[in-house]
Amino acid sequence: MYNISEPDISKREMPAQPKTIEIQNLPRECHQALILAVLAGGPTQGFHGYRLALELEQKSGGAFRFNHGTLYPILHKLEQDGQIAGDWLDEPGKRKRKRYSLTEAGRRRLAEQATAWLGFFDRFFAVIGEVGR
Amino acid sequence: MNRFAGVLKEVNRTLDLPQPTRSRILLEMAGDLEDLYRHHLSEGLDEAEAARRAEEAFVASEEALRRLARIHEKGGDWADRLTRQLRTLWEKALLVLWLVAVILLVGKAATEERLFLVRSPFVWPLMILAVAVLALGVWKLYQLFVKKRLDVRRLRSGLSGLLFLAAASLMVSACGFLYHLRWYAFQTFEGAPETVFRMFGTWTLAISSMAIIGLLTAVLAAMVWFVLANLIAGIENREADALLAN
Repeated sequence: MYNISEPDISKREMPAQPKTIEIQNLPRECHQALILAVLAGGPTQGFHGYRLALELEQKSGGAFRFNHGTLYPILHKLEQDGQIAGDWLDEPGKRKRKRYSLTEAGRRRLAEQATAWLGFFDRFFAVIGEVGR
Repeated sequence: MNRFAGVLKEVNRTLDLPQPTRSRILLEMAGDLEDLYRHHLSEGLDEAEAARRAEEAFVASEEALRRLARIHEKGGDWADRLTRQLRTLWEKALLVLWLVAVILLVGKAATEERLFLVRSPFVWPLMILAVAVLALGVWKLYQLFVKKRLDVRRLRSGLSGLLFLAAASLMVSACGFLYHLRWYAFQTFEGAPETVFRMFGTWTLAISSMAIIGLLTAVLAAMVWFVLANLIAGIENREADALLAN
């Protein structure tokens, strides 16, 4: 789980109940980076929307759980920006389904995002690390 | 009957988007809902519980749906807005009449000898574009009505080509106009005064034939695109209607 404690700085005590960070509360850039990362680590033909959410949940050990309804705005924005490509599949006996795969632009964006987030968390933990221990 | 009609109806009600875009979103959600339901079944849940969990996972907040609508509003679903499916018989009849008139005009222009009395070299690329428009239009109609290929996503994939051909036709005409204008200006500048009227006549004949073919090709391409886009939107809407039926 991706947990973070909220220290009481004045008393230097750990809270009894550590709070879980909800993925819905993270910024949109973070959602996009996570989706791009799951697609980068998946098969070349990509994932269906529902599978993407399940993969993300599994990879994060259940910590990052997307409501599927909130996933579509992120997917459609990424598709519109050309970072992922949506492809419709029409298999016999099955409903038409849309599958998403990573584009070259998406791969570049993911590399930029990874560097940016690493830099951000380096500084973040440099500030709160001492207090959190 | 669709077991997830309730969720999809709610999305359909809340999403403020043109019907073709909304239908595509509903189709995508329906596919994912069904897959998630099957995934839960494979985990050993009974049908009712699997359906409940799948529905629960897909309940989108109004805010998420508003964001989705904003993305499609900003993101160039202008084509869908333009091709809101024609509803009444009158609208359809008018469109067919208009298309037939444009095709007849193009045919008449292309076979009229006087039009090519002074032939601009730009007429040839325009003729090629017109043939490409007709070929693409006929191919799509063949897929729709003869082969009965109802995979609308693939049918839709070539449609933007028609708009590209329309734009290309206008571009070629504009380039041709400037080329001939420049030619006329040089000839007038260098030529004797008595030849000016003849040159003007040559110039106007060349650019008028080119402009007629260029504009008709552009109108034809836009019309064929409009008709096909409406036919395909109709299929998508019927698919979405089937999903929403209880």
